[in-house]
Amino acid sequence: MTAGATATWVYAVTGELDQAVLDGVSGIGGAPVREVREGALSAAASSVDAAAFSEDTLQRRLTEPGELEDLARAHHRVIGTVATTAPALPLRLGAVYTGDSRVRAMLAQRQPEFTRTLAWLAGRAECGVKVWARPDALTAPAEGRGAAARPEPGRGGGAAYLSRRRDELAARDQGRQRAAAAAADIHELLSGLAVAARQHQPQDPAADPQAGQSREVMLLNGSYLVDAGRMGDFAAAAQAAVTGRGGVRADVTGPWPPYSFADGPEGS
Amino acid sequence: MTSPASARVDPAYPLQQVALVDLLDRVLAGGVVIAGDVTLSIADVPLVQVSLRAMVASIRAETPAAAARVISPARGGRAPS
Repeated sequence: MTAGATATWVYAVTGELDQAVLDGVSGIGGAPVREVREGALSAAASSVDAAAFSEDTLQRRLTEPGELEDLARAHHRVIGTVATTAPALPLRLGAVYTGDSRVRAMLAQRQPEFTRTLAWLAGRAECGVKVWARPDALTAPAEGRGAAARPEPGRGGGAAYLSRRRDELAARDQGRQRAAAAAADIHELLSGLAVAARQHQPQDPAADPQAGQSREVMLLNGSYLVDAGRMGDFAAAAQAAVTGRGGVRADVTGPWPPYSFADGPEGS
Repeated sequence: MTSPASARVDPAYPLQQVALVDLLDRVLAGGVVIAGDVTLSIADVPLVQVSLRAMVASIRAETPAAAARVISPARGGRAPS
């Protein structure tokens, strides 16, 4: 068994990296994490087997649920550790270089942008807010429009069916519109309390134990950049934003390293 | 304004208990996109979707929960700033 060629996996970029912190965490495949430094910036990186992380191989591995989870959790483990001690810019999963010198070149090339974004992220973290609605919260007729309950005197089976069906569809349309409006309201409110905000695609309820059971749908999958000391207040505000909205609940996650804000203040 | 970053209060991040779906939202769609030497087209939407679908399918296989509809959220994914 001769050691094959290695490549360099990059987790995050930061201004300062404490080797003692890196010693306490393992990277992809359990590899030790090291600093790759260029000027005022450092990358947290580790070595991976070049053949196992070639483009084709990596693409395939990312479509295997088990492999994808292992890679994502290892990537996050290192980023979360680094971000605990200093502002850190997470890299998207899959940044692989042929060697450390290529990483240094990348750091040098993007130094102004990275420095600016790191300063913006300092002392801040990402809070996730997922808003779920029960199906009945979406289909209940709107106030003052009891269309579905309207009697249909003198109409036969077929016509009554069509009428009922039309009302059902109208109620569903209204429900969807109200759901979209509620999501926009909540997002706007939370954005006003945050430094910056982003939205992710809504998640499949099947991936959430509670939502899958109760057939909920996701109205909002938001991420908010918040001052680290205000995380608790922000989470409380998110819960308050759904209070009084029947059948709607919020899941607050985090704090997260600022994954959703790596595009910097200009990305807003 | 110029206080060193290390003097800030940086939060502790929960590393183990994060849900995989929430993590994938972030590591596949967030983070800095850089052109690595391995030109992984992970920035492309299709691969991200393939990955997420594969993951959701595996969860669904474990817990045969009801398949529910997903509605579109409010359009215009970005927040005003």
